This record gives sequence, C-alpha cells and structure tokens, in this order.
Amino acid sequence: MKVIKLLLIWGITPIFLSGCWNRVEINDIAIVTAIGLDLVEEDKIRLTLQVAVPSKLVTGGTGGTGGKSTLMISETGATVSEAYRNIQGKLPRKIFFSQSRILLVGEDLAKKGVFHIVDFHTRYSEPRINSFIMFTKGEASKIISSMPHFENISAEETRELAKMGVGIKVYVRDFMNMLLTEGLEPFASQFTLEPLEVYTKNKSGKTQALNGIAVFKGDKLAGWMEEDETRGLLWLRNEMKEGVISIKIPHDQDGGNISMEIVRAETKIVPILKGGKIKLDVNVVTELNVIENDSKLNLFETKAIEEIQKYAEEKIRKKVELVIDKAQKEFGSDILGFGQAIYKKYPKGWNTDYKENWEKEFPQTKVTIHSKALIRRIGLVK
Amino acid sequence: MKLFRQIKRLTAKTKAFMWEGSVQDQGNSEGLTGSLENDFHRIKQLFEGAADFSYREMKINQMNSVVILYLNGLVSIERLEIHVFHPLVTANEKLPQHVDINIDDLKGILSSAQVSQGATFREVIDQILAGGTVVLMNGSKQALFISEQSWEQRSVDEPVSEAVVLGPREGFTENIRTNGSMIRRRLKTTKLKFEYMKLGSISQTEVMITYLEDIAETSIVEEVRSRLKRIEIDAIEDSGYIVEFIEDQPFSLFPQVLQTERPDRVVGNLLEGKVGILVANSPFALIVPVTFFEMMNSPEDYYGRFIMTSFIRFIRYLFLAVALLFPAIYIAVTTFHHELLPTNLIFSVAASREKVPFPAVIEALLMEITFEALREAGLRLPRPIGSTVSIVGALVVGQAAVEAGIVSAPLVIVVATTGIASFMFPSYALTGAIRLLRFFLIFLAATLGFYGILLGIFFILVHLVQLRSFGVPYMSPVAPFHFNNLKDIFIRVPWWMISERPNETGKRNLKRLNPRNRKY
Repeated sequence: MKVIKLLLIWGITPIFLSGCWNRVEINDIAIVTAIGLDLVEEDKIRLTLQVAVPSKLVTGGTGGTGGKSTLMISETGATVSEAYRNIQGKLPRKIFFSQSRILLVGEDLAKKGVFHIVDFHTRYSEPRINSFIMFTKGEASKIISSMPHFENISAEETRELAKMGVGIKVYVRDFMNMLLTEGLEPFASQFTLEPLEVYTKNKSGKTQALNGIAVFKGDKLAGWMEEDETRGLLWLRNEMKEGVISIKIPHDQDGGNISMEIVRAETKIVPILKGGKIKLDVNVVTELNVIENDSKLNLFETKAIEEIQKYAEEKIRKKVELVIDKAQKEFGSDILGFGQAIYKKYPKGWNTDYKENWEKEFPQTKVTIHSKALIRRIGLVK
Repeated sequence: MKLFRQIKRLTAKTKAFMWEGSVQDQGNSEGLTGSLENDFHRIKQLFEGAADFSYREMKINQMNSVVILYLNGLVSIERLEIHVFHPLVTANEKLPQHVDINIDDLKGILSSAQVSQGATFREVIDQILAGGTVVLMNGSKQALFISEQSWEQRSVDEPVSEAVVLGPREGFTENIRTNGSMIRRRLKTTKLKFEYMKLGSISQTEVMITYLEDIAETSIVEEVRSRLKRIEIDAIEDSGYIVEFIEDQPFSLFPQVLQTERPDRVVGNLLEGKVGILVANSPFALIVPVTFFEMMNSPEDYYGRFIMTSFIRFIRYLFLAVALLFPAIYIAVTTFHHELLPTNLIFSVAASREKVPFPAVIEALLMEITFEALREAGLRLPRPIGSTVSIVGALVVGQAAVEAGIVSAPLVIVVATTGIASFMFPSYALTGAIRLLRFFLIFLAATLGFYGILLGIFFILVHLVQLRSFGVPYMSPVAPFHFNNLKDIFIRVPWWMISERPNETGKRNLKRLNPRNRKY
C-alpha cells in the first residue's frame, strides 16, 4: 500500500507543479500579423495591431464567407507595452506577437526617437527580432489597414515585398545593431501606398510599395532618401543582388539606350590614413549582361564594349556618389558605415582621433569612387 | 531506491508459495515387473477415464502374448497396421511356436523405422503420451517403443506477421520437428545443434535450443539453457510464455527477445552467433540476444538491392520518429509554441480548431484511442466484417467528426500518419512499445511542451542504453559504439563488404566472408 501511495504522489505532483502556466490553445490567441506605431497627442504612442481572424481566412472551410480577414485594433499609451496592455483589455483573445514580421513606424514618432520601440521589440520575448522594420511618411496605421491583393492579409504582402530584395532589407536586429555600432548610423526602408496603375484615367486602388529609405541620426529620423539613392546605398552596402542599369549613348554616336542587368556587384570601402588625414577609397566592381540595345553600336566589337563599360562605370559612379553626397551634406549621418571601415582598419587611430568627433569629421571626409564595370554577355543579336 | 526495495519485499511474499504440491505426473520410476497382467493393469489404471487410450492384446505364439498401447489420434493407424499389427498377427509363421522368445526376437519381426526399448513405467507413459506406440510382452522387463506418430496439422504456410515481397515464403508451423527441419535444411552442418528439453509440468512441451557451435558464445548458450531450465509452470502454450520468463527486464516496454515466424530470419541470426529457441505448438521461434536495431530490420533487407534497402531503412527510422513524436509535437506546437509554425499554416490550423470544443490534448487522445480501438476491432472481427469496420471507421470517425466540428482536420492527418507509421516496423512487439510511449509523450507535451518531449526522449534513451538482452547491450553497436558493425544498422552496405559478424555475439569467429570476393 505504501508503495502505491508513494507512486501516486510521485505521479500526481508533477502535474500540479508545472501547472501548464503558459499553455494557450491555438484558438485562444489573437495572431498579430503587423504592428504599427504612431505618435498621437504630442507624447502618446498609438499601437495599431493587425490581427488575423482565422475563421474568415481559410477558404473552403465551414462558413466564413464575407467579412474582413483581419481586424484592426489600436490603443494609446505612454510606452509600447502600456499600449499593448490597453489593447489586451479590448481583445477576448491573448495577443500573440510572434507571428508578426512587420513593424511599421510613423514619421512623427520616428522623429522623436525609436530606441524604446526597438528595445521593446527585442527585449520582450514574443516579438521576432527578424521582423522587418519600416518607416512611413504618413501614419503607420493607414498602411497597415490597406487591402491586400494577392494574399489573405496585407501584412503577408508587405513581408513578401520586403523579402524580394528590390528595396533595402532591414530587420529589427539589424536596426538594433546599427543603432549600437559606432561609426554606423541606422537606416530602414520607407514604405508607402501608391496607385496600382499610372498615367491612366482608371480609378485603380492603391498598393503597398517599398521606395526609398529612412535615414537616422542616432535613434531619430533625419530624413528620407528616394528610390535612386536607395540603389546607390545597396551598392555601397554590398547588397546589390539584381537590378537593371540603363545608359544613354551620346548623340554623336547616333544615340539610343542600352540596358544591362547586374550579375554581380562587389564594393569595398578602403580607408587610407595619410599624414594624419583620413581618405576613403570606394571600389565598385560590377559584372553586367546586356539585355536590351536600341543604339547603333555593334556589340560584337571589342571597342564598343569598352565604350559601354565606360558609360556604365560612370553611371554607377554617379549613383554611388549621389548617396554619399546626400549622407554627407544633407543628413550628416554616416549610414554608409565609413566610420566602421576606419575602425576596422585603424582601431587605434579611430579611438584617439575620430571616435568622439566623427559626427563633425564625417561630412568633410574625402571620398574617391573607383568604379569598374565588366560586360560578360551581350546576347545573340547583333 | 527505497521504492525498489519495497517492491522487492512485496514480491518476496509470493515466494512462500511452494511449487512442490502442483499437479504433475510423478513417480512411476520403478521398472516393469515382467508380469504382463500386472504391468498392463497398472498402466490401464493410470489412463483411466482417458477415452483416447487404446490397446490391443494378442497372442503371438503358444507361450507369448503382447499388449499394444497407444493414444488414438496421435498415431497413424494405417502404418501401425502395416508395420506392427500385421507382423505380429503373422508372427507364428516366423517365430518358434513353443519357445519363450525374448524381446529382441520380437523387435526383429517389426518393420517400423524407429523402434527403441525402455524398462520403466515412467518411460512407457511418456512414450504413450508423446504419441508413441508401446508393445509389452509377458516375461519381459523391457518394452518396445515404436514411433509412428501422425496427427492433423497445418501445412507450411506464408508467414502472416512478417510478409515479404522478396525472399522465401515459408513460415514456421506448430510442429516443432517441421520447424527444426526448416532450419536444418538451410544449415547443412554438424555445427548446427539442437538441444532438446521439456517444459511445463502438465503440458510437457518440447523446447529446442538451437545454435551454431564455434560461432555462438558458450556463455550465452549456457545462460539460455539455465534460464529455460529455471521455468517451472504447469503449461507452455506458446513461445510468448517463455519470453516473459527469460527477458532481462520484464517490466521494460521494449522487447528483449525477438519472436519470428521465419526460418530464414532464425538462420540469419544463428549465423550472427545468436541462439534460437523453438517451442512445440508455436509457430513463433525466439531469438536471443537481440538488439534494438535488429528489431528494426526486416529479413527482406538482405534480399533486396542494398541501395534501396538503405533508403527504406532511412524511411523506417524517420517514421519511427513520426510514430513516436508526431501527435506530441502537434500538441506542443498548438498549445505552447505557436511561433514555430509558418504564418499561413498557423492560420489554417487555427481556423480548423476554431469550432473544436476540446483542448488539443483531449482531441488527440480521443482520436488516438479511437484509432487503437479501430485497430483492435479490425483484428478481432471476422474477415468479411473487418473491411466494413475500417470503412465505417474511416468515414464516420474521420470525415463526420471533422464536419461536426468535434475534431480538427489537421489532427486527423496527424493521427492517420502516425497510424500508418506505427505499422512500418518489422517487429510486432516493438510496435507495441512505440504505441504506448506515444501516449506517454502526448501527456508530457501537453503539460510541458517541447521541454516535456525532450525530457521524454531523454528518459527513453537512458532506458534503452541501459537495457540488455542476455548481457548484450540493447543499443549496440551504437552504444557501445563499434564502427565496423554500423555497416548493417542504419544503412546496409553490400554483402561483400560485411566481412565480420557483429562484435557482441560473433566474437568467437568473426570471419564471415573472404574480403577478396570482389577483387577480380
């Protein structure tokens, strides 16, 4: 008997000990698909959540036709977590952040500083640090509540779009890293709603679009860069995966355009310390395939190829130059990581000379761009 | 530790029960008296009330008469007539009429193949019970035993529990002689030994230990012998009885003795230095010692091409994990770790669970238990009804339950996959262990999530690693690790590369084949 009693006690206690304290059934959670943050009333944070409604999401299931597949819900608070608790008061299901891959921040809030947002997102266990962080010129909640065209949920489209590699891809963890790294200022992609069709009288709907980047200085938004500069930044960050560059042939060579796709691009930032003065060399090597040619140039001639390469080099150089200029002159924010490059090559020099006053030095640093373009394939047509 | 001591104390009480008073044929060890009347009378008395006991008295000449004793149904009357009755009836033509002949003269006129002699009542009785025919003669203290056994039996059939596509299709029958002959036919060597013993005080079941001399470890053979001899029970009805007596850890869920219907599998194991046990009236032979990995192998693995075999083994181990873990992982993911699923998948899982009134654990247990019931019902029911049950089970329990919103569709998929997976293992006994452990892991997953599953796996592995079958580690050659023997565990290398017997059992003579086999 004693044995049986002992066995019973041993068997039963663990069940009560564990208590299944964080056990939540899958149909008792509110799956957050996107998080939006805006500034309201000067100093309050408005947290907007896009919550999936599973029963409306799955087609072919029992019932569930009609009705929106997502629920928009928002609440304000002094901090993100306060707003989150306030929302929980309005939701019958437990808010669950881990499936959300989108963190959208409105312009006003970004200008005030985003450190505490990123802090919540990385410190709290639920949100993913590999969510995409994006900034928007208007209100974040507006973009979150846009209607999806392909997927069931607009956040899914946002994620797919961010993953494509057209624009720049910045995860929350990357943002946090950039924020904490010396000699590197954070940036993230800019997100907007744009009309589906252009130059038409059709009343077409709006769709999400990734264009440009938000440039930060510290944790505060410094300004925006447009599409063109984004490409330059991709080049500089060695993230150029695919893309097309078009060059114009001058009129004395019968004009026309040639388009090339980028096969491979490699960029090296080389700091040179000479006589106590820092100088930066940016070496850009690009491999290209010609995909479209409406000029009179005969690509089967080596001379023509060399000429095109020269034009392409110039074009790429200008693109990179543009972004460097903007970062140096307009924002004075080292999103290019020049400081990092210096620190890596001359750690001692960085610590003694530049660490403290890099903010002042950066706009004045001389940067030379060496662009090299190589055409690999020219296609089958003369 | 204290707990174990208490269990021991409890079991010690049963030792007070004495075996000596059990029902069994005892005594009768004294010799025949030579007086036909007395001897015959005594035997007749012993068999009183046994309607199948038959005898015939006859005079063979002026001086001598004989009694022929046998059990009806165990002997071939036809052959008895030809080889015993006929020679005896016509004996007066061959034997001197007025001389008191001795038993050897009588032996001389019988044309049966197997004729032997015995002198005690015990022997006479045993012979009759085993289906022999006994001839008693007046004036002789010796009796003649004639072996003309014959009874109705199942013919050699395809093994039901271990069907293969490639390979021999004969399986053991209930006749131990036939079974022995199937092994002998495959190993034509004097090294193949059959050791014979009788178990069961009432049933007197014949049991044969078989092994290959110079390959099997003598210590293991000796251990088998002594464990078998220690069995004292009234009857052995099937080899399954013996399994429980000789297992190293009878309370373990994992089988430590391999039961097989296939003579080729027994032979394959004998060649690896293992010991076989054949039991009369059971089509299942036992093989010891056995490892976990042996349980996961099918005899077909050795008949098919090795690349395909290796792939199938990979599938088998993969589905071992599925059979063991899939429902547990489903529960852990749906109740604890929602972040693990891809977003689109979590939507469909959540949508399907929307209407389900139970928590995932209850749902899973409901379905798993229903599935086990279906399985059992399908096994028990007469064959024509069996298919009906499976249709009703699949349609009603599956489709209707989902449509009614009692269970969710993903769970039906999980349970069905697990069900299929649990039928993949070549060893029926191992399947049982995995099915039970699945429930154990479901409980752990429901209370502790993935942490619980890992804890469960940890416990199972610790148990497996310390388990032994007749002194051989259950997880060998993985733990303890022996690289050379891994050639035939998770993959099977071609035959000509397996040049050694398994290290644990075949150490006495490792050489299996000439390694120059493929060097032309």
